[in-house]
Amino acid sequence: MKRRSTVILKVYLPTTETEMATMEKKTKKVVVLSFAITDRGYPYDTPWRKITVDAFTKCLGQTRLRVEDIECGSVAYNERTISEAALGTQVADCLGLPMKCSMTPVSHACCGGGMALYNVWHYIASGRYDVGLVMTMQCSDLFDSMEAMNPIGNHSDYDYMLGFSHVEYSYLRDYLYREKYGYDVTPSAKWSQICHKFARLTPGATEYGKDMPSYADLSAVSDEGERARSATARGSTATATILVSEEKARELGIVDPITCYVSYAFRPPYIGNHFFYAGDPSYVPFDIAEQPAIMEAAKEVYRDAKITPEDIDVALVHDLSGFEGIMSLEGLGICPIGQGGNFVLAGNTDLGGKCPTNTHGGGIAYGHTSVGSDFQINMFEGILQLQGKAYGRQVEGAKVAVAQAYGTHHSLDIVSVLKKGDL
Amino acid sequence: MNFDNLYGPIPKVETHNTVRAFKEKDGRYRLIGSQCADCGQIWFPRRFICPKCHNQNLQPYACAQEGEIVVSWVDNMGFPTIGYEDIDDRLIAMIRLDDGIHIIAEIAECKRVLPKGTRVQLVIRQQKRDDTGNLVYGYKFKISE
Repeated sequence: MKRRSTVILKVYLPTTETEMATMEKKTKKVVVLSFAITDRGYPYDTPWRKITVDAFTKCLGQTRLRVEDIECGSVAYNERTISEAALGTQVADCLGLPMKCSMTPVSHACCGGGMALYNVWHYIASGRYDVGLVMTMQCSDLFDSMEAMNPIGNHSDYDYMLGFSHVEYSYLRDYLYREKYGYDVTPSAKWSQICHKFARLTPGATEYGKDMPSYADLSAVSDEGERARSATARGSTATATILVSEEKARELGIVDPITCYVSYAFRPPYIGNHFFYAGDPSYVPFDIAEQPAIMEAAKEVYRDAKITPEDIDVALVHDLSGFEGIMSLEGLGICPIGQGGNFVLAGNTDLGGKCPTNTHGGGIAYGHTSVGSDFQINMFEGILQLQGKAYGRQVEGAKVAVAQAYGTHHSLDIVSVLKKGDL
Repeated sequence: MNFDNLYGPIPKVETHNTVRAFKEKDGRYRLIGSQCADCGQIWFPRRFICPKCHNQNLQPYACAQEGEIVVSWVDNMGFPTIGYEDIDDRLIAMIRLDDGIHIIAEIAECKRVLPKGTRVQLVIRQQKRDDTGNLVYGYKFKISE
């Protein structure tokens, strides 16, 4: 009888810091090949498939790729507004994607688009795929822009059931920030004024072509004033973004490619936990006037992109109110915590300031569509800035942009870094 | 938010029903949360794993029924959740209970913003009528006597 050889499997475990460093994960760089957002003004009876196809064809048409070149994808949507289940398959079918193309659905409210990017980024960075598609959509099929969103991201068995939603928390957040750091409404008014000015320079923005609101209206201490300093609804919107690996970018001969990096962090959704959460000691010093999830996500993505906050030339942040934008700048490390109001009042978010911010108008004036485009409009504006195509609002010499969005009351945050000259 | 740019009507949809509400009745009627039998940390709403020590040995815990206001504000911004549309301005508060738990709740029988540190106590009150027509009850707080 033939003797069987014995094979001993050895498991190698690194034991020193040097060995650990060499074990660090290697990822490929990911390049933004093309992007598109649908125009405003879809009639109410437009189905989601129509706006999805429009965004996709507009995006693909800018490239030399064919539909069958798309290898993977992810789609962000609101589960409350789209009745189809297994939406990834529905979208892949609707776009005519190849059968082998995965299309992962995600539903993460306003930062859903960021989560879809996060998925596709990893699909490509891992080396498994070379071409990926990021889709987002918000459609008025069953659309109640507030109510459909209200439970998402909450601990719905308690806060939503008892009549609270993230809308309450937005106002609470602003109120607490002002109380804690000693501001009146003027930083938010100034923020909104700058955003409105930028939107008048951005074709496609909801406020483009409209009269500028007066500073008196923006700084009014009233419900009307609060609304003037809050986001503007944009209606049905879809976006498409095609990402490729660095090898594919070279193969396609992309000149001056824009690379992207992305990271994600969450906070416990129940609002009481934003005031005290024993599960993670790093949360304890903060309440909802600060944004620790943005800080966590930023820390990781800055490390991946090898940048510091001082390297950021332009910031595109999620601002459903002026103060939310200000808190985001603080979370990103662009200004110290509690100093964001003064940072804005000093004109630092305007062109020529230390960090021009929301140069497309942001949620305040470009328009808010939640999962439809809240993250993507920030990312797209960052790319335009790095490509030198943000005509009339261009930040001269911009090489690094940061795009950020959050879902509901910052129970989740996405931060992305865009770099020029990185390959 | 400015809705002038939306197109078409805004239908209403509901997400909660009587069965789902029933499952959380202990928390909603009596502030029953969880306490980790291993590390002692208390939680509200109830949990099935302790985020602090990651054990699953959690026991029902009755939260303190009194506390103080951290911040209060009047909800009059015009975006009520379903079932609360016909209810007048509500006084909402973030409350730190005497055992350190933080919860959000409506302050009953009061419509004015209360200063930080105001003492409040648990009461049970009618909340809304849900989509099945049943009345929903749950916790609110009132100023301590």
